[in-house]
Amino acid sequence: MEQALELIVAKATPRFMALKEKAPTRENLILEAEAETELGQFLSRFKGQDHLTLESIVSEIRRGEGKLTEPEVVFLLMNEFAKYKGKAPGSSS
Amino acid sequence: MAGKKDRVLIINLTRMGDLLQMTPFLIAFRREFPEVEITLMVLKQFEDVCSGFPAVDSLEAFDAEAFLSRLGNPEHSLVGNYRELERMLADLRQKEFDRVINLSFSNHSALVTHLLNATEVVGITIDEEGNRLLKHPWIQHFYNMVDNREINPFNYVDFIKKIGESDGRAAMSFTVSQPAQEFAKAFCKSHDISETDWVIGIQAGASTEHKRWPVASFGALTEELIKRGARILLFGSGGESELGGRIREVIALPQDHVERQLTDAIGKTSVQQLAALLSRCDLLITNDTGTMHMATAVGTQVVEISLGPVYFPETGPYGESHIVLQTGMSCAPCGFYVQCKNPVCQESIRVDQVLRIVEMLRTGHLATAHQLRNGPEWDHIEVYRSAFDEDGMLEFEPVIRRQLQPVDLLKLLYREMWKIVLDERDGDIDALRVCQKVQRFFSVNGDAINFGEESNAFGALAELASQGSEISRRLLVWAEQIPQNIPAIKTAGRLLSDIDEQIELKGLTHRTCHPLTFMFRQGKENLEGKDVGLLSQGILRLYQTLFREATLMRRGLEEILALLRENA
Repeated sequence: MEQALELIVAKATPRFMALKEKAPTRENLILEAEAETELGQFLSRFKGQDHLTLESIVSEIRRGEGKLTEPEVVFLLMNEFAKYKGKAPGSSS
Repeated sequence: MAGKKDRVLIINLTRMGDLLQMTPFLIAFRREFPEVEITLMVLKQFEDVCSGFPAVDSLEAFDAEAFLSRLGNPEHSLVGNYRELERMLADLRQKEFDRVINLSFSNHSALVTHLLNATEVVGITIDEEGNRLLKHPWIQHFYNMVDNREINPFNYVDFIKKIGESDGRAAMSFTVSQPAQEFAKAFCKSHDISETDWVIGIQAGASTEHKRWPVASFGALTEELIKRGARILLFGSGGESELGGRIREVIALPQDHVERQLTDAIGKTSVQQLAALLSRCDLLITNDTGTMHMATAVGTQVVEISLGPVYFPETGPYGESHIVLQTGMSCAPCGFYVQCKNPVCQESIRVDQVLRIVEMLRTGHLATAHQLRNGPEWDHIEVYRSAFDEDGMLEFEPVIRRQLQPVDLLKLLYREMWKIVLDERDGDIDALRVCQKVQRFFSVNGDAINFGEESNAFGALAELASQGSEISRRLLVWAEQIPQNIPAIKTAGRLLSDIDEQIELKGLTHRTCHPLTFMFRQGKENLEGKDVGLLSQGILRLYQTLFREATLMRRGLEEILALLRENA
């Protein structure tokens, strides 16, 4: 069992590492969004998170309180579409 | 509402069938507001469907497939995807819609609705903190329908009309384009289908296996219809193309005869061409599908086979004199999320039963108001005919005369009650009208009519609502005092919480009351803001509404039962 687990982890680790490497850095995203825009300012609040994904952004939004900002609602919208996982809303099941 | 040249955006990000079911609302809405500019937002893959819609001035097509493709492509960054959505929203905001009507029941449509910042919103949206808001009493009742299907009496199309605040009778509608009409003419000519042939369409597929009548049954039915001289057109999407071959395999007739009488159009038509061919059919026999709705929209009579989770009062063919066959099994319809391991309902509807219905339609023996005697040939099946009621809303009349069951009466009562309450009308349930409907469609055994438990439950609910109203009135007084009487407000809050628990319990222990307690809970979830005074006003209205609903049901039930006993 232990060997099996080690094998699974060994095979999985390069994939996990690759995923982490592919997630864009916060700085890159802020640069792309341009820091002075509403989106750029929204992304800059994710201090301490070097890599941002849609999931991590939505998770942070859900932990928040009070009124939602426009970037927050747009990311929530993006997340709703992402739930369709390759099958567009309105497709036959 | 909207006046001259106001701009209205109607959002409907759903499938073909749901879009077609919106057409009666569009017709009624246009009739009521002839000067309004109507824009319809749909998914791009259904742009073709909407090209035949009445009353729409312009279309906004959102390419969800392309956007999803971006999301799954690592070459597109989060920021790039964000900007894409931002562009879509900016394009829509530029048009400065005065009113947004969201007819989709989805989170993404609610978020889009919110982001458009329109002056008036109808339908599902979110509040500033992201909580779902159901901005219309009929939308709140739509969610009630999902939870209380067996007592829900309304068709989805009528919900849409009510949510859009358009009344009056209007049928489904789809305009077949000239090129599509030419296509249908040429198609029929090439397959030797003459204008005098008896043409029957068959839609054997469905979006889920659970909703499908067995292909073997469709095959056996097709064989019998061919023997009776019918020309058969098979319909379906490209993904269902193998069904044509499977139907042919079942048919035990000479192959050249079958080839002459049966034409396979599965996956071979565009939406417009499908509509054109359906309009040539004298009848469509179908599962619950978008094809069914297209057939009703082009004026073709439908026989629907309603199976699995399909509940035909909700989604059945919208128009006059369509027929629905549903299994008589007690587990029907199954819940939305049920994964049935033994869908015996699919076998319970027999080929000979469907054939008999088709033959009676052909000879006119199922004309309006005609009923069939309850006999062994109709074992395990129920048959219904669609019709519009006095308010222009669709109902399904039983074709086979059966003994009145409690759920039948409750459905009729709830229908009348919701129309009064949700439309904010005065008055009581018309007990005489309900009684006449019962006597028209059901056999009534006077001794068996006993709804004492239901009547008491409605009475108990009314009493709880009355107590809640009383405390809410006091709460309102305390909330409006300066300074506010905080200890009294807290005590009132606790008392109301106790009452609400009892209301909830009543709904859970008496299924017949559950629609009322569900709506009450929905109402509380839709109270907006944090001001104690406004919230108190809101909660008082909810208790008063619950009181009215429960009282209408109790009184209506008692009056109808008295009338039925008199006439039994």
